Amino acid sequence: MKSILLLVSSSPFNPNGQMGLELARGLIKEGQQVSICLLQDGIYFAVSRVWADRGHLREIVLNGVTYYVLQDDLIMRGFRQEEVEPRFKVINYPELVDLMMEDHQQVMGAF
Amino acid sequence: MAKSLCVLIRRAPYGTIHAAEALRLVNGGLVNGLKTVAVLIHDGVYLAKQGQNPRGTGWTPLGQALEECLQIKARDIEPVQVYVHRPSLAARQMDAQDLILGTEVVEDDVVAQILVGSDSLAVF
Amino acid sequence: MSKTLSISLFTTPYTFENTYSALRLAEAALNKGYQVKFFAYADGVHNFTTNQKARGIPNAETLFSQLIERGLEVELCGTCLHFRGIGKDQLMEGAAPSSMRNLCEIIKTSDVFITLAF
Repeated sequence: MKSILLLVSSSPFNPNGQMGLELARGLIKEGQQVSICLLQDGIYFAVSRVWADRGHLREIVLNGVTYYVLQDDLIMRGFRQEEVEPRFKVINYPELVDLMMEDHQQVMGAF
Repeated sequence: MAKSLCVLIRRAPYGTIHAAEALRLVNGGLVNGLKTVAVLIHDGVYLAKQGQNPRGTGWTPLGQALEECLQIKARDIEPVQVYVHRPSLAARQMDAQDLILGTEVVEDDVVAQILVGSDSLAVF
Repeated sequence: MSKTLSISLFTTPYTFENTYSALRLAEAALNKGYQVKFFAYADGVHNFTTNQKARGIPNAETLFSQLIERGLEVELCGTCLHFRGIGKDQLMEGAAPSSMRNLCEIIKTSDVFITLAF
């Protein structure tokens, strides 16, 4: 089993963002340990309101994934930490570097 | 052991430069000692469609470029493998018969295995 | 030796957020003592030209120059420069034309390699 970090920079309403999540689902099925970090427009997936009413995105919401979201890109887009789905850990750039360089065996992206 | 590179192609040829640049990297990887595979997914599957004919447009015929890439044979170069994601093909009402010979149609699980098995991933 | 983070940047500086994300990531990685390399591919080479006057959006020339002084290594796809008519005299200091062979070397020797396209 490998620990894999996927970087998702596209909105979950856009096919590229959905692809990142679909690939994550495939990796989990293969028994890998998967984390996802959202940045840029990817952050919209972490917003509680989107998460709660995700409609067609429902089937790509994954159990067993560790979720992260980049604080800087949330703030820039007008979302406060209270508006983020609790299963997401809000991180900054230095923490993202740790995730990429130390905490995972493989980094994939950005999608 | 040679390091491996997976080039993930997710956009259709000609609409953007992505597929062309991705193919250039596939060729570059092959001749520069990387064990290289290409995975065509979402609109990227159109890169493998037979019969592309951009004659007169100034575009490199990318279908032909893909065929040439599949035919690179030299000592010390492992042949490239080009995988086409079946669910993406199906969503576009296509199947293996529409594709350039030498490409291989695969399911989600194989795509995941290829990603895990590659040392590096380039996303186009 | 410290680990290497390499970023392949595919997009222009003033249409996509990738430039800013890459800059912030590179800065944070350099602060932690990692080696950081950029390979600009396709339109990504436009990040590294001189005389950029961008305002109201992070200025790629200013910010990349600061990181290059701090040890950021930058290589540009030579074919992509040629395609776009960008000469060596138009490139910022520390950003040099490179080759497909060097990109493959970067891929082989990096601990982490990511691509920022769109």
